[in-house]
Amino acid sequence: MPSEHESFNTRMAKAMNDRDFQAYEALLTDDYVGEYPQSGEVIHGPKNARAIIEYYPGTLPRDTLDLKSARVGATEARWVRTPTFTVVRAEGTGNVGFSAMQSRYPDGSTWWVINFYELRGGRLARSTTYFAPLFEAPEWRKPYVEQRGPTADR
Amino acid sequence: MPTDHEAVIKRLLTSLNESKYDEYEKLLTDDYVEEYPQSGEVIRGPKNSRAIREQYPGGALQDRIETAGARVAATEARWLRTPTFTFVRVEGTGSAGAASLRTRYPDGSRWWIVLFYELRGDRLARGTFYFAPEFEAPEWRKPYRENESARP
Repeated sequence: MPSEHESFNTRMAKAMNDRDFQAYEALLTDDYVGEYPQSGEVIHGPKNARAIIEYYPGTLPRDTLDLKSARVGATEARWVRTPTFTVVRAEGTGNVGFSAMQSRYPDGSTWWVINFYELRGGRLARSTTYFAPLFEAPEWRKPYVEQRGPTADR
Repeated sequence: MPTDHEAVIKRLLTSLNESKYDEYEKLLTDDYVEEYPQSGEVIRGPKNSRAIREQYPGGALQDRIETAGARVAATEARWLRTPTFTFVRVEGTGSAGAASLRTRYPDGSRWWIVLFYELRGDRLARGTFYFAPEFEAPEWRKPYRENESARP
């Protein structure tokens, strides 16, 4: 059985790639919370989350997400957030997943977008998102490393 | 018996924070593979993985990884890699997990390390690492966000 997670991630990526903001909003729970630990930003509710995608300066391109690069891991665990933000596993049916995929930005740069998320009833209830740029492998590491190509097969 | 993911990750972080590389090496399986999708680098084996930490330009900083900010999610699922590198879930005892941690680099910059990993026994068998820099929240997003901070 393909997991709920795989179908959710496909629908989410399609909404973004088609710039279908209505569909995007409908994939979030009413009490959705998104957070960007790199900047400290916290976004509450589907309307705000939609605005951030819709009004991205320079406009996010169609097909911004490269589905060929997508990696999705689903779990049978449920996350519980402790007061110190440590995430611990508790019993329950799987509502938690993580995904990583490449995304193109209006300036032409490519970034990996990594998401830890929680689903509720097929909709996104919480996400913690990280943005990681491509970089050139440094010289000093070469003796210890094999090099993959520059594309989505990384 | 399910693997105690938190304990394994904690041991890894402690060995790095204390620059105990012999210990670090022992926490990896002999066929350990580490990959950096941002640069396309693939590192095979405990010796190479150790060398990368030990010989980091500018030197390894003691206590550079903040264990207080760490988030770990363990799973009872096993990842299977399809030819297109998608991870799909298969049944099995819990070998896969994800973690994110904040770290300081020798130049003083702060980055998040996000890690998808697989354990075998109590050792790390595979790690996919992403490196994400801290950044200032942009002005244009202000109308849509809270004043609370998602930073630890």
